[in-house]
Amino acid sequence: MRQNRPALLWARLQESPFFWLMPAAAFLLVFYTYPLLDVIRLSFTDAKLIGGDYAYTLRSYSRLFRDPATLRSLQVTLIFAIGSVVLKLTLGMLLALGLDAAVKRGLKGMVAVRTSILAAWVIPGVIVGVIWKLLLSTSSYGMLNYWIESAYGTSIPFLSEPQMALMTAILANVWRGVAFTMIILYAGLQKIPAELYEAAVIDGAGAFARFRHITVPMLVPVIFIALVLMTISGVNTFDLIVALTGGGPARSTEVIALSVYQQVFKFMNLGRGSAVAVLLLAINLGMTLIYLFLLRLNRDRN
Amino acid sequence: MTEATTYVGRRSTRLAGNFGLYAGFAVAVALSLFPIVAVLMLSMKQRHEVFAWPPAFLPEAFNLSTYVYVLTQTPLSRMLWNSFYLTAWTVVGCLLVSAPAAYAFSRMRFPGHRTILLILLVYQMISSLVIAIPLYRYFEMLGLLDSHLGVILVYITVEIPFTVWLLKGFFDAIPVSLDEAARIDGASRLQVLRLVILPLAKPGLAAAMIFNVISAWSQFIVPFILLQRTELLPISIGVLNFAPGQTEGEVTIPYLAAASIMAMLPAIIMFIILQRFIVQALTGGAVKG
Amino acid sequence: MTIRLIWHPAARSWSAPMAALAIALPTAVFAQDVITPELIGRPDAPITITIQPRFAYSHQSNDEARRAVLTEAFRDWSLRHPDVKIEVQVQQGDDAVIVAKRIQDAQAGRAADVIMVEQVDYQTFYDFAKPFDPYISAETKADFLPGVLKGMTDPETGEVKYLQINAYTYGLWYRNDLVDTPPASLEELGDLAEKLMKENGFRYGVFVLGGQSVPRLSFYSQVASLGGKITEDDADSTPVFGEGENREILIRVLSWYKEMVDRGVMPKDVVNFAATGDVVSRVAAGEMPFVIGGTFMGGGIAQTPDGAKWSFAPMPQLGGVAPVMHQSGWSWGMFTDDAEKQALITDLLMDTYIGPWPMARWGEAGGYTPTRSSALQHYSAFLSDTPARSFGQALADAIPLANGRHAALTETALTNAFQQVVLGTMTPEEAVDEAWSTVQLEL
Repeated sequence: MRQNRPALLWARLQESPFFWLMPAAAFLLVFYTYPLLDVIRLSFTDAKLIGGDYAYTLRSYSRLFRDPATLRSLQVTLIFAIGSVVLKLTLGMLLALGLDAAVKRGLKGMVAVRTSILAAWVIPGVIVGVIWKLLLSTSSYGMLNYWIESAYGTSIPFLSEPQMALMTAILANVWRGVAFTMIILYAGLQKIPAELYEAAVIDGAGAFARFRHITVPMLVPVIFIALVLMTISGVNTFDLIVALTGGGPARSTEVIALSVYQQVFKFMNLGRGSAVAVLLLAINLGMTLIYLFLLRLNRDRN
Repeated sequence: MTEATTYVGRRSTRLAGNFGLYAGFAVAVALSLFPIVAVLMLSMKQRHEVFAWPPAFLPEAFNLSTYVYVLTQTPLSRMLWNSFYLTAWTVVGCLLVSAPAAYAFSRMRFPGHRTILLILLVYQMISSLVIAIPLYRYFEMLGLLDSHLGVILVYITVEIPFTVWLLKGFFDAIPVSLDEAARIDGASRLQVLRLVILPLAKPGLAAAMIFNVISAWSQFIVPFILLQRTELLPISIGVLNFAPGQTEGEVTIPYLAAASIMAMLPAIIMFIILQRFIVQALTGGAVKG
Repeated sequence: MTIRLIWHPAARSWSAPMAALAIALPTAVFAQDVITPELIGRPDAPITITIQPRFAYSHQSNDEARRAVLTEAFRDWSLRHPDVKIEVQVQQGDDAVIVAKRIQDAQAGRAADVIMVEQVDYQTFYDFAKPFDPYISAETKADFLPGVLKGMTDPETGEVKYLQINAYTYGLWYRNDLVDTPPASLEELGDLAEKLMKENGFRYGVFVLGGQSVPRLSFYSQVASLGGKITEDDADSTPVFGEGENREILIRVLSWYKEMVDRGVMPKDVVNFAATGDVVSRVAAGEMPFVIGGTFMGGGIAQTPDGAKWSFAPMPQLGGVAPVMHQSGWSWGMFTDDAEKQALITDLLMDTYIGPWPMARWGEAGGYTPTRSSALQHYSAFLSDTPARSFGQALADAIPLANGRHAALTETALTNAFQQVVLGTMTPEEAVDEAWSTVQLEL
């Protein structure tokens, strides 16, 4: 049966997971892995952007850890990431719950509401920074400060006071990203069977108790995913911050991604910049592991 | 009075609740849209209006001359097209590559599949900034520098982890019994994927498509590193040409505003058209952990 | 466009406008084909020159005047060299990333033929750029301002590696309708600013770009004028600001800024501003009578409603001592080994940006200051009493800014110090000491 052999081969090929994973794996290996390994390799050198000879050394790392600014930028990054995540989760949850309730009550105009909130999400990060910078400008085209000044007599230093600047950056990031959380949590809410709530009502549970004991546990998987993704993107944020504050004032919004940029492109320190990049990866990894651990704890507890 | 569900209460509490919800949403919508509207107003101002003191929120006239200028006298319209082009190919390529992988994770048990999923997560963590310079050198070696092809290939790679994970979630929700039924009828795995799973996972595909579009549209670092010629740049980079840093003393704030609006508008419009699908997708399909 | 020049027999490229006039009529019809945003010349021409100008210096620029000048210049040259096509690859976006990419290109030997290089990056590219010496005369070299020529020349080989198109220097912009003689001392500036604030109701007294450029904008000059140094004059620009007399002088300068903020003469939000556009918008809104800024703001300021009321003066110093002025600017560097192309490139650059008249014409269109004495002396804008003239005068003895490999590090540390002082989170002493320890850690 000569016709079956190629068919057989084809069928057997499809049995191997390799066949299915290969295209994706190829992309990841070819386009991402080589540069990634190169960065890791470079972090163990003192290479300069200008080239020339470089030596393998741990000096880039030792300098990195001796520099007090590293700790500061770690702090800034974590505050920024965690602040963004907490706010996005809270606001997203509120919006999702509200949306859910509104839809169930048959309120009109929810599509428009959803779309308006989602509109901010599609804007490239760089442009979000540009827009907010324009808006908050203390120059004459900054409307917001003009109104504030007319009402209260002083303008708010959104971008020129160190702690305020970080808050502003977090707010801009939340503004941009809350739609994602909202939509994911909203989807998760739809999955929860109505019978659970009905049973709880019959048992006499109030709204808050229902939330705590039904909604949240059922949403844990979704919340977990949202947390991981938001943290990764928060820790890696670069374009929004560079457009909004450029790392200032007085390095108060200098997140680690910005340090990478500064070391590699401004100071031409490829080795040092790569070390910071590896640090960035390590933070991402660390936070994800924490979440995984928490998830396991949660599973074990249930 | 016994109630069937928790959502129907007495009429007055219901009205109060409705009012509260509307009020809350009004605030949320206002906050979401205010920056965009403010920039829109700014984009319609003439130069002298920009610096008028006291500043006015509304422009003197709703003129579109800045848009006309920005679209006809600058490379911006070309850049809009580039963004479309790059995004479209990325979506197609990414789905083509991710769907089979998601199938494997969903339908096949192989050793280390959990680990590989985690490794996928690690790739998700890589920010393009981190690999920027090695990527530049590497692509130069590969001859892919300053080309749309190179950019699309990187975009696809960036999207793969999330897309695979998302599609896996949707595929998982489709009962394996359907697969088995088709296999008994003599279908190959590929046919099962094509004829059984994908049609049922349409919401998932739509969701993946939308996430990919938003991500590709917003990409900044990758095209900035890999592209040089003006005619190839996407709009996320083109906007910066109007920013105060690049204009060497000129005042181009209205143009910057107009360019920013142009950069957002196509994505928003497409979003409005497709937003039914995305919500339906996420609620109809499964978003599992 | 008007040709308001004084004929100077020694100038080389007067032929250009004459030839343009002669060719203009018959070739007006064909001129359309020759120039597109990315390609100048016939697509089938055998020789290709790749050129990478900065966005604002290219014929893709946003500005009418610049586009007109460059389009005409390139088209004319192209018509006279039909066997050459010029591929224009505009550099846009972030400067630091652009330079990084150019370095990679140069190292791999695939840099474009002609690239715009900023004075800060001269050190980086000396080894890669090819000398112009075989193609330019000693007379031409001597025509460049001495400070500029020094920067253009490779210190190791003595060859001219860059042709600098423009130079900007830093000083004081002031309202000429309110101030007769610009203050020469910082103390006087403070008092005058305060007085004008009260009398005329200005929002602020003095403004400065307090972002990344503040050391270059202000400190280098103010420290050098008092005899101090921020960095050594060596190829690495080794920082020396943290010790001895240099440290004292720097503290004094920072203290002046602190005093300005404390007296309410300078707002704290200066720390936010890093770009010319930020200052120009304030000038347009008439928010203050003084700006410590650069001559590169001239174009923007001139376009504001009260533009004519602004004049430029050299940088005021503590104690009114004679100012040491610094300059920086953009130039063209050549990266191709092909001798024929090198000759063509030099010719092209002379006709578009570097020859005396093209340089003056470009300077007028862009609001830039030429770097050649002949351009400065024979172009009417620089003869009449306008800001342009004051730029030229200020540049006469200007020295190049520090551009060695430690310069960026030093400036970032000092910018941080400045911002800490202005925001009040550190005293000038603490700020300088922290900047010093940051810098020391990296050396």
